[in-house]
Amino acid sequence: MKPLKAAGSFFADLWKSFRTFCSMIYSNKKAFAGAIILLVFVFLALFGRLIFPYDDTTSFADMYKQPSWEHWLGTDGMGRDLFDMIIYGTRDVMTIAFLTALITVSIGVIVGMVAGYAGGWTDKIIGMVTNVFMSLPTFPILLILSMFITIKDNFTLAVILSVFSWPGLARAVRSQIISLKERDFIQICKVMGVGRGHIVFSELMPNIMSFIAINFISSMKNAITASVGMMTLGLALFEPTNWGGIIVSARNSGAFAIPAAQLSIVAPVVTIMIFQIGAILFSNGLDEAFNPRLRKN
Amino acid sequence: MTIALGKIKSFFYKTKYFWTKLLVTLLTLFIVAVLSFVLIKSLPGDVVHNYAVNLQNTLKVSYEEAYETATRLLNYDPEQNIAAAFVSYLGGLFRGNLGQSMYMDNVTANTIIRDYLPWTLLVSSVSLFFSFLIGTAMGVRMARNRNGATDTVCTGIITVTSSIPDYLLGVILLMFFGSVLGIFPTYGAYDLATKGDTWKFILSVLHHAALPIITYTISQIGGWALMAKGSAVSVLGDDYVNAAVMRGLPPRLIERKYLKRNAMLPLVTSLVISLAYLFGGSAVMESVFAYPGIGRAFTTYIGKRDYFVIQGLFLFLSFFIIIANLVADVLCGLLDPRIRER
Amino acid sequence: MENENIVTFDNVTIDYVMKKYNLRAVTDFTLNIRRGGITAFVGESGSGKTTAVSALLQAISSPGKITQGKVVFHGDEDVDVSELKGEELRRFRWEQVSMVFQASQSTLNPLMTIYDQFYETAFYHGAVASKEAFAERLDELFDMVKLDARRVLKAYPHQMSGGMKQRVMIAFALLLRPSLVILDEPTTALDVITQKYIFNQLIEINRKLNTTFLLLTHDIGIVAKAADYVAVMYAGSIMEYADVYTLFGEKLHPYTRGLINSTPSLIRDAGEIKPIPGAPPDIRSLPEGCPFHPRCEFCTERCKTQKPKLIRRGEHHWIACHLYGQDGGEHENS
Repeated sequence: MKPLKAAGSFFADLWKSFRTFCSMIYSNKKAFAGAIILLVFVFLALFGRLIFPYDDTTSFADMYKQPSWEHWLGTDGMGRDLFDMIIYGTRDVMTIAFLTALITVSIGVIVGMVAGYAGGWTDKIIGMVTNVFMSLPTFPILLILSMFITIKDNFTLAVILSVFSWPGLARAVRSQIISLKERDFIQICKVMGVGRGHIVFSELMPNIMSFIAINFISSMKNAITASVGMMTLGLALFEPTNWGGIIVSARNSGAFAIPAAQLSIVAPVVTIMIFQIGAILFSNGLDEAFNPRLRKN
Repeated sequence: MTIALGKIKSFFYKTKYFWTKLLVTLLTLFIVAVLSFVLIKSLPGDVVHNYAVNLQNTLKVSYEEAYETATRLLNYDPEQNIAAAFVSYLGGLFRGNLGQSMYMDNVTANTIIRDYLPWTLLVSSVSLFFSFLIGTAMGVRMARNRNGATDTVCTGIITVTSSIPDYLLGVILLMFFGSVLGIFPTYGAYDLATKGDTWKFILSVLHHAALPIITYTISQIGGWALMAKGSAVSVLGDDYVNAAVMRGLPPRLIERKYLKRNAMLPLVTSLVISLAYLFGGSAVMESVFAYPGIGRAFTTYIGKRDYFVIQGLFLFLSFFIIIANLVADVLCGLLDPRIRER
Repeated sequence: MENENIVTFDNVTIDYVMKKYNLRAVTDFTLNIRRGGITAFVGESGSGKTTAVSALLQAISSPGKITQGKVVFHGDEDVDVSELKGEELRRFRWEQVSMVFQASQSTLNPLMTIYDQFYETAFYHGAVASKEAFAERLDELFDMVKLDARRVLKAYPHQMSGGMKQRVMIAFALLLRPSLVILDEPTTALDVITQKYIFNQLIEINRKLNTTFLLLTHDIGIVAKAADYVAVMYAGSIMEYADVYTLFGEKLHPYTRGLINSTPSLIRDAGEIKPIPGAPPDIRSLPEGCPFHPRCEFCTERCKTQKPKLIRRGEHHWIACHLYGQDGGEHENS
């Protein structure tokens, strides 16, 4: 009976923190605008393909057509509708970003919480490990890793990208936990004899929820930048509809020099920018909402 | 005698902070060396054999001689036991031998660094210089009139420039200014034709470096501005600034000693660490601009699977970053007395 | 002939001008602060005492401003503090009036040693004749606050305890021999033992020097011990002003009486303590008439509509309460 009740109260607390979270987003203009942008992308990732069907037949005759009612953003080097490609590729991009963020945040939060809450030798060892990770140059290591592992699917890519992002997050989570641990309400819990599991899940976690959300979005943002970078270097295979993929293919087919083709590079870049701006607005806005000192007055 | 010992002991205790940092640094360096050694050990195939075969053909010697030369050049003998191999590897490192290319005789990690690093440094250091100056000035200005138009406009600019990955910005700028408008060249570090004439050479170098520098600068300004703003804002809010005003200290003095010095502190650490990353260059950026920098070289040799060179370059890069971390920490300790106590 | 008063608050009103409303922090404040000795301002948080007193250093935190009346400092000449600007203001601060802030605020630059900070302030006020003379002055100051000059001067702020920092702040305030030193809750953040120690020091220093101390506190016990004159404030208005014996002896104003009666004592029974009923005032929406009337047990209809004026009752006794002769008697400070 007891574990059921515990689970029930855990979920109730989780739902409550989620709702507070949502109201915070709503109250801050920046966060709200950012959230809307991000949600649009999520929507497109899930349903975009149904609304804007993508015809991947190639046709050199339609190469680099200018924007028209038929092709809203024109076509790419192989006659495919650019707009549809971007919409279609949203799912791919979002998948990579989401997976990377998920892995990074999961590992980072777990490690950080363990280090922060346990303290003592566990903390010191974890601290040393994160220190070493953080003092290694990440991009060169990524390049070296790519020698051994061919990146064929999104999951592998996500894992590789996460390998170096989690230490930073773990460290931040750890310091948050440490400062929370000393606060009164946790001490009260201890005195009342509340179980450790309950403390961790029902008391500590809701407080770092916003922190986790902000870092999750930042992680997604960095994942996109890094993944497109790796595609540019040819270290990762990509779908032709992935935004980065469109850019790389265009560049490789010499789109630079052809004025008509420039849209095929500019369009996906602008799409990436819009997503990033949404992410920035969201995380900054959320940060402001939780740190009143950052607000304008 | 005991007094002297006491003095030595107290010196060590007072500078405890610095010694700990040094120790950690050496440890990290050691770990990196071990890692790169392990890397080579775990490579598929028999590297030395391949190289030996290669040498055998080019030098026209027997296999045994070729194999011996190979182990010597590569500073790696698969026959030795691990401990001895590691020791000789370290020995090679201390002698400055960073790694021999397996495919080209006259190419070692050292030569690669010599040929490519200066270009990376040229672009990175100039960009860092400008982006730091402009960025921090912007940040401080934003902190001063927080509710004004300046802040909003600047924040807008920063948001836009941070939303585009730096290499994509390079792509766009290269496309418009390089291909379309033809103002800047689209590849290389300089025009080969100008090799003879010094002035023309310098101009050509600057001409070719301009776009990469502009791209780097624009993409980094945002970071410095936000850091400077955050720091300045928190210092402005601190009571001791107000208290200094109440004591009738002249405003110029307050700005210099109380605001700037305290606000710049966290930025110095970041600056030093950025200096270290200067040495790595951005592989992607250099690839976009076809600029012969060390990042691009690294990528190329990875493509070639030229393991020993890769190992050497990687070590070189890590070395600088780790040392830079140490320097940053030491500097922080020197400038901020509070940190020394921890 | 030196003015017997060092500061005159002449019908001062201070408002915080915000976008949608004005917050009136201090209303029709009229008071003379006598030269020499220790005058205390007593009041809860929000009573306006800090705001009123900040005017003396032109340090009212923005967006506050004096919307009525003036604050006059009687130095070699009479100075309207809010009119001071530029170099004049800079010299006025700390040379004529200085302040000891609450301990909870970090008022020392964390990157400079104590010696450097003292030297800097003295230097920019032209008060350093020679390094030797300055060192002597520092010894004198630190001796007054019972600190070891040699240890403290070399230290950085974070290396000192709260009590030590407060004593340093007191020495700092006395550095340029000002005529008036404001002490804003100087011991609130400290433990009781250090509190008592520091207050004993303060009283001793005050007796030795020719400096007026203006003490802000919410602790009536400290007032009883240290003050010569007391001004009681509530919700931005002055309720009563008297010399300390009269105030504690007669306990005329209901608020004063409430404050004194609500203090725990070693002698009285715990049951005899009477807290003041009701809730602290909301300065965004103050009631009409006397600001204290909602909590006053002697409240009359008149109290609810007419704000009592400050009337003189004795040589050094002024009171604003309808219970005590609003008609007849002198009005306000003359």
